[in-house]
Amino acid sequence: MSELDLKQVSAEIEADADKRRRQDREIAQLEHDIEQAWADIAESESSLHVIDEDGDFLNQAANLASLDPHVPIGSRRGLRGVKWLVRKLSYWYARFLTDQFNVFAGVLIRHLRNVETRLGRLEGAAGYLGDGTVPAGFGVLDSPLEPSSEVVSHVAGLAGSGPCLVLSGGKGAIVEAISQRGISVHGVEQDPDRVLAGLRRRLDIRAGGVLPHLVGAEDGEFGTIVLTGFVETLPLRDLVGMVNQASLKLKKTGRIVVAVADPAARARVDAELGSGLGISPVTWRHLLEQAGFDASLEPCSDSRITEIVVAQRTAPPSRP
Amino acid sequence: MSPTVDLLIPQMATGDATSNHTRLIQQLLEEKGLETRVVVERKSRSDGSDLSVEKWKGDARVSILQHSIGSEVAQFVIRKKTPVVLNYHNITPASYFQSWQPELAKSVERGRQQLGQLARLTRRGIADSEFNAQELRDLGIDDVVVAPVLWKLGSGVPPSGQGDSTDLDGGGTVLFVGRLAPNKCQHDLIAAFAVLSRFRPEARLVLVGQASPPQYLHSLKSLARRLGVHSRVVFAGKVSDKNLLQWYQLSDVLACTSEHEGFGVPLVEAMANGLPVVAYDAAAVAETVQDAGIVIRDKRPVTMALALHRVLSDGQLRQSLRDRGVKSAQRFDISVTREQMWIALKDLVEVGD
Repeated sequence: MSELDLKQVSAEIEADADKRRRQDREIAQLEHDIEQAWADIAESESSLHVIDEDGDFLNQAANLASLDPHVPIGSRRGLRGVKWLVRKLSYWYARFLTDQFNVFAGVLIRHLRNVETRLGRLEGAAGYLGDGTVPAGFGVLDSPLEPSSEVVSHVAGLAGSGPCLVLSGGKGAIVEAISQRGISVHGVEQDPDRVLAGLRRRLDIRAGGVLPHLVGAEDGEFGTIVLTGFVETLPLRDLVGMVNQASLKLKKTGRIVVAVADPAARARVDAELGSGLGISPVTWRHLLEQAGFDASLEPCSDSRITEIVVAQRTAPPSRP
Repeated sequence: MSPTVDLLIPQMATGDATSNHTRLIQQLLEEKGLETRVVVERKSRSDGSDLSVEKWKGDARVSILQHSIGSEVAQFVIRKKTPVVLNYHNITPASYFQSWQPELAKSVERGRQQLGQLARLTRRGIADSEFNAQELRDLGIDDVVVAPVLWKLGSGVPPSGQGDSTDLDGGGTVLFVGRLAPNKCQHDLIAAFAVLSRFRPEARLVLVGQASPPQYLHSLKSLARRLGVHSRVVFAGKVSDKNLLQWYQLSDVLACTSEHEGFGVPLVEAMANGLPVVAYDAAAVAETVQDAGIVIRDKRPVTMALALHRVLSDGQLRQSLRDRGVKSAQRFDISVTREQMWIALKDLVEVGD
């Protein structure tokens, strides 16, 4: 390979950019708009410090009020009484603070003991052995499980026409399976570690919040929307919002596939921690039917997700 | 009995580049049979430091001060008028932080003032780069040596062609590594990425690093949202060394729009990992990258975007940058930089033996 002159390449790029700015008004305008956008944002963000500047008044007052222990208050006779008074007041104030602290510590310890007792009961109920091993089912609510191979193949088989959107994308197993069917698909995932895992496999997993992504999509953009993973831990209000938004973003003949576990089947600890979060496949079906879909339950052989909801649109979407 | 060398640093922290650098200098000197002691502002149980600066007498044969922003350690040196070897890592101009984090701006201003006072006490200046060295010379320090930051370069260069995507048409991952801070100008990178998305709608931008100040991160997110690229910008935050290595290997180009880099560790790490570099020519960036990356003098969004687009779409150029980068990064291999550091210190620490 002939040796490239990188300085020459840099100069070519800079010359090309100048040429485009001169010849393409749209590019020049875009650049101007971008710079203006940052100027607006930076100005409004840095103005937050106006509050801090005002707050300096308090800092200055605090600095003035603080006593420097290295500077003697005074040793003249008239000041001794003042020093004695200050010492006494400091002593009684310190005692007052100590008493307050002791009361607070007592209340805190009582509450901690209650928490410890309750946690002990929970651990006992969950079969926690206290040897550092984590029983099955722990942590599901914090970090949604990746779908099993049964769920992946089942959901991929149920995906209708493209383009397909998978919420949340996780590490990309479902995205990969749907993609292998030749359907255009991308997933959205908030956790950078999972996005990293998807990127590692060169899958189209995009970073960001699921709801903002859905709201930002074009109306009628998707042929299929798959809901799985973190939707298991959303409250009903968010789920209703999500169904309404998904309905808007689907094509006329679009389809929604929901792969979630039934909250009623959760382990005792998860059931308590996740009380009020997530809904069962049957409730999903009802919700989707209310939103104008023809919904049905498909049995799945996975031990956790035993039924998958498939909803086909029957009525045109209406803006909520 | 006083040790031969005192290593003065504001604080020893895990995962901090200057702390790691100090540890490696300590290791180097001890291997040469010299007795050392780390002097810090405040001792903590886990930092491995030996002495709090309040108890420091300045009676070691050589005292090496790590200086970047204003610190109490530097103030003690000035107060005691102790001659020091000044290991200078540069100070970001306060103007970058004035409107974002006024308290940090004050701290860097203090660092600048202290630098002027330290110049009179400096026996020898050791600078990470020629750029930093020139700053010391401008302050009147005549004896200045360039010796890069010591750190163990993590690299896992994939075999030629394997780390590269087979098809980057319309895509590609652009990586930035470093603190998310106003002087690093990630907002310029997001702006360039918005233009790049016009040419490459499937491209991604990954920003690895902790935000300082936090409201700057908030602004970056606002900018990405306003420019409509938020779903393709990953704010990965602070990551482990292992994950950082993975980001280097998974990305297709490292972009740097920073306006103030005293050295540029991520540039070297990227080169060592076979990742092509596109950088804005500011401070020490050009001398760090040398002829192993695309260095441009204009970082307006269109120019930067075209540079990234060129690298992502030209496989031959990428391969050339990868080969040059790996070769160039060998200058900063720990075996080389340790030797440079030893040459910089040898005549001072061995006098009288």
